[in-house]
Formats: sequence, C-alpha cells, structure tokens
Amino acid sequence: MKYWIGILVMIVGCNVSAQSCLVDIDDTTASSEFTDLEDGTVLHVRTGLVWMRCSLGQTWNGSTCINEADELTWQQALDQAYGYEFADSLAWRLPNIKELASITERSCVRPSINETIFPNTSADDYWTSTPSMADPQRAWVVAFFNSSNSIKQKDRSVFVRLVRNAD
Amino acid sequence: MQSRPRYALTKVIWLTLLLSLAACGGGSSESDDNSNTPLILVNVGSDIIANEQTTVSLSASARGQSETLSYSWQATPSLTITHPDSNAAAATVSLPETTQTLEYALTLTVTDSDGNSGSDTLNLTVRPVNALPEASISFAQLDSYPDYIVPAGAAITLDGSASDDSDPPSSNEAISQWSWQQLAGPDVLDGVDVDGPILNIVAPVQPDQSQIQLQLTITDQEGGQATAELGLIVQDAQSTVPTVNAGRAQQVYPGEMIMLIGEADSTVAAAKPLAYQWQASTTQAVITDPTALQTFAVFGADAIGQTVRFTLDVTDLNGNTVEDTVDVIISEAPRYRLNDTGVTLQATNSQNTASFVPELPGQDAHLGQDVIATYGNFEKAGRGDAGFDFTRLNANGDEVDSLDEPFSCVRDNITGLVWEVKSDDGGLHDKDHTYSWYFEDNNGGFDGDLNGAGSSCSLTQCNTQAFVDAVNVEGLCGFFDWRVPSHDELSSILHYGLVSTPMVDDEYFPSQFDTVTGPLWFWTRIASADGVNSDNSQNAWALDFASGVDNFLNKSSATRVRLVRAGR
Repeated sequence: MKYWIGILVMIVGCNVSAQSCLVDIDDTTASSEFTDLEDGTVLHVRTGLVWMRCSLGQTWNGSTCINEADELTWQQALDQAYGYEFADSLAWRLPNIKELASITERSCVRPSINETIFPNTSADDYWTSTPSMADPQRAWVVAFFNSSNSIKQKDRSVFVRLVRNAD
Repeated sequence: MQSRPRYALTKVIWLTLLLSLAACGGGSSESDDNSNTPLILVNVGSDIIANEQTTVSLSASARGQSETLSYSWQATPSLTITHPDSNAAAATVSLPETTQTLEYALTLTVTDSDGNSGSDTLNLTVRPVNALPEASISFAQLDSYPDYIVPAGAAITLDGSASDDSDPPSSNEAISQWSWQQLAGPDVLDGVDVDGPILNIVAPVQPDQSQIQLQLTITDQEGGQATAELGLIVQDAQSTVPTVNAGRAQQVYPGEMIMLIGEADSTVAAAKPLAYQWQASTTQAVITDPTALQTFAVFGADAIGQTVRFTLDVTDLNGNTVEDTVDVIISEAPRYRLNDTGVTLQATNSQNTASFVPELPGQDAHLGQDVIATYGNFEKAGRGDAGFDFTRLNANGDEVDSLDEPFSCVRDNITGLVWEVKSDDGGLHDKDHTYSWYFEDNNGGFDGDLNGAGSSCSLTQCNTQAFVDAVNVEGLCGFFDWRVPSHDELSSILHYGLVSTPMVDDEYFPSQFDTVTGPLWFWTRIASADGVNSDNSQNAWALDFASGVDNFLNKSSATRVRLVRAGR
C-alpha cells in the first residue's frame, strides 16, 4: 500500500498543533492553486476569490500569522466585516458557505487547511455569511478540523476569515 | 545607652577641665593630679533642624589622653549614618522622606585604646517639605463645535486625572482627594459623582444660551491643595443640532445591496422625532426608502467604476439640519466562478425575513449573484432560481428551451459543469439507485466496497466506479467523460435558500425525491482523511440534499450518485 500519514508539527508559542494528512487523497487546495499577493492576502485562482491569510484578530507579519484569532458572534463577525479596510481594499466580507468550503483541504485533518497558505489556522469552526433557512437561530459554519459544515447558534463565539472577489 | 543626665554631666566636666588647663597655661608644671581616671571629652555641637530628604554633615571634637581615639555614632530611633573613618568624627546622615516632623537623638561615643570612653548627644529634627500639587482639567471638544461651546443636552466629560503632585509620598496616589464644584450657571452637579478625577455631566437644556463654570479642587497626601477652573458655553436648545453619521465606506459590485446604515440623534428631547433624507451623487441609484435612517441602494451595471457619494440629511423639529456623507465604490463585476448559495431571505438573530436587516450587514442575501438576480441585474445565459443559471440539454447534448420537452442533462452556465439528470424509469439513471463508494486510486488507501450491502441498481455491481463506467459507455448527452463530482462541484448546485427537499432548483433537477424523508445523501469523489482505520480511509464525503449538511459516510453505504462532467 502506498499510504502513509504525514505529521506536521508546528510550534507556535507554547501551543503545539499537529496536522495529519493522507497522501493517497489528491490535494483539494494545492499551493499551486494560489497566487501570493504579498500583502497578507492570496488569490485562489480556481475560484477567483482573494482570501486573508490570517483570521480576524491575527496579524500577518510578512511570513506568518501572529497573535490570537478573535472569536465572534455572527453579528459581531458581520459588523466587523462591513466596511473593513485591509490591503488597500474595502471589498472584504464574510464568505458564504460555498466560498468558505472551497478552501478546505480534504486530504488533511486538524486543521483541514493548507497551512502553507493559511498558517496558524485554528482547527475549529469559522463563520459563513449564510444563515440557516431551516433554523433561524443558526448560521452555517465550516469546521477546519475535518472540513465538515454544520449550523451553529448565532450567539456562539466562532473564528472568522474574510474574503473578497479578485479585481 | 547614654542617658540625658550623663550627657549634661559630661559637658560640665569638659568645661571644668578646659578651665583648669587654661589656668595651667602659664608654664607651671604644677597640676591638680588627683584625677586617676582620665576622661574623654566629646562635643557634638548644637542641635540640628533640617528638611526631609536632605543630607546633614556631622562633626564633633573629642579630647582624651590617648592619641588614638575611636568614634561611633548611634541614632535613636534608627537612622542610617554614613561614617567612613572610625578614627574621625566626620559622618553624614541622609534624612528620610516624611509627611510629619521626626525627632532623632544622635549620640557620638568616643573610646580610647585603654577602654576609656566619653559621649555626647544632639537632637536632630527632620521637617517635612511639601510642594503644592497642580490641578488641571481637560475637556474633549465635541466634533464640529467651536472651543468650549457645547450643545444643549450633550453628555460632557471633564477629566482632572492629569492633575499631579511633584512630591507624592512614595507608594501612595499623588492626589488624595478630588472635589468638583460649580461656580456659575444652571446646576449640572445634582446627582453627579463629584469626588473623582472624572466628572460626567449633561449640559443643561435651556431656552437661552447659558454659561457654566466648574472648579476642581485637589488635595495631595500632605494636605496641600490646588484648584483649576473650566468654563463652557451651552447653546440654547433651539440652536442645538442633531448628530449624524452616514456609516462606513464600502465597495460593492453592480446589483449588490449598498448598505446605507445611518445613525442620528439629538440631545434635545423636544427636537425629536428627527427626519431623514438620503441622496446619491448620481441618479443611477435606486435608494429603496430615502426617508428611512437605515436603508439600502441598488445600482445597475451602468454605474460600474464609479465612486458614489451618498448624503444623509437629518433635520430636527426646530429646523436644524446636519448632513454626513459616505462613499461607495461600485466595482466592475467579477467573473463569478462559484455559484451563489440561493439564499435571498435576510436573517436577524432569530428569524428569516424579506425585510431589510441593517443590523447584520453583508450577510449572504445582501451580496452576490442571488441579490443581483433578484433586482434584475444578472444577465443569465439560461434560467434558474435566484442566482443560478442553468440550461437543459437533451439526450444528444442539444439545448432544450421548452419546459415541456424531455431533457437528460443540465448545464450550469456559471461553473460550466454538465450534470446528469435522474430518471424515474428503473433504467441506468434511476433516482432510487444506490451505490457503494469504490475507486482504485485517489481513495485514501482503501478502495471501498465493490458491491455494498443494500445497494441497488441496474448493474451487476452497484458501486461508483461501475456506474461511471456504464454511463461513459452509454455516452449520456453525447459525453464520455462522466465522473463522480468533487465536494465543491456537488455543493455548487445546493440551494441553501430552500427548506423543501431536495435543496436544489427543481426546474432543472426535478423533485423526484418528494416522498423521501430523512437524509438524501449523494456521493462525492473525495475520500475522507477523518475516520481512518490503520491509516486507511474508510469513509468518503457525501452531501445531504435534504439538509445541506455534508458528512463522511462509510464507503460501503448504499448512497445515490449524480454524475458530472467538466467543460462548457
């Protein structure tokens, strides 16, 4: 069998996180799909979306994301994104569920994201802009521990990554 | 320890000896020699009064029979005495910081080599010194008002915390007491905390302009006091204007909702309710409710590339009008590569509604192809609900315009994907057929199940690979490159705006599953990296078209498949 499990250990401050990947699953977000815009954002060529490399609350220091990511309610997340200015753009917004799911890396878990492109991503839920039609108390989240989606109470504290369309 | 009577006695003896020596100065060798024990005579000089935190020099004279005398200073209560040379009297004392008068006794004991000793004591008085504190008041000027002029009813903060004392006793706050008083004008201190560094007051609402004069008195730890004053002119109620904020600058695409989220208020209750009026710098804008404080605007494609300035006028009942502006950039529409979600209802924190929800700006229904389509600004190649854009294809792959003609495939004009349409005829594409997940590569180390329990289809083996092979032999709609969709591809047709089953546009993916209750899983091609057994992926991703949820199912699960092929 040609499988193995890759363990990447990243040491961030005193936190230790380990990502596990299966090599016999094609990458869903290979690094070659992204163009570094060199301002803390990347263009995902396949989707035409530009993503912040860091979660809200973190800071891009030129090579990685530092500081703790913010955990916000759905309303706080939307309010912060409204008119958010970053990397010379005012077009930032919360991604919808299809957009956020498009940067899940399904060959890896914990976190299930390309850590070269999106370093120091929490292996946890991130808000989407999409409310649940079936349960009005909840909105959709994507969990970056294994790429799964679910609906979550809007008053819960959840991580946020912003997106915009490419110019 | 020397006692005070002894000190007095020593002085008397010293004087006596001095006199007797002088008497002998005439060269007479005769002397009074009946003293067997020679005394050491010590004189430390007069008492000292000095200020705190200064250094005092001590000196003394001593006389004894021996040439070698040893000196030792002592303080009561204890003080640190710097005494570099024990064969001399000279010493210094650093006086402590104090807020009250301190008294010390300093005693010098002088000893000779034979063990004889004498001593003398002086009183040291340490006086406190206090520099008076300095009071200051700072006042954050309100935006757009001249210096020290405030509107009636305005909340005002005076800050005295920059007041300071240059010589605070260490480890204490510099200022021990704060006290605000009003010297003139209509009372603003009633019910207000006047004992702290910060004073929060509300400007009086009066028919005429008024002046208020406030004073801050501070007291330092040593009782020293200082004052500062500040005067404010309070506008009359009639001339006090409302506050206005037109919201945040933003960038949108043609057809998306532009958030016009104004904020306005008046500090004068009698001037309310306020009236609002939004205007745009171009007539191409449609402002939905221009007289609402919070509304939205929609621009068509003719506004591309503009920066539109929206102006919000707020007018109170006294006829005062103020305005604020917000700039919105209308960018050229992007080439959309992903489908929007289908959500067109807006969400509050507890319900979904067709009304405008300004308090949750930038949510799904405000932006993207769905809202652009809702306002008629999305040019579709075909048709489809919300922002979806589909075209039906017949068995030969030709476009089918009529809703009455049969069709076998659907082309998504946004993603370019062509989809298999399910049938209800028991044939190869029957809607109820299920398959186990089986692929010999890109499978996470485990092929899956060739013919899972519970699978049912028209093939010998009901697995995903066998189904793909069969459809590519058939050449559905003229294509021979059918495959199982990726997660992104399959979720692209999910319609998250629907609560009915299935969550997909049923004009193009007919609702053949109406009778199904519970989950309606469809396989993706993606093996799951979660739920592994001995590093072998046991599961693959599937999407539930009843709920929109995804999950990894055991590869042997009997699950539906909808095939896709890429390319326009």
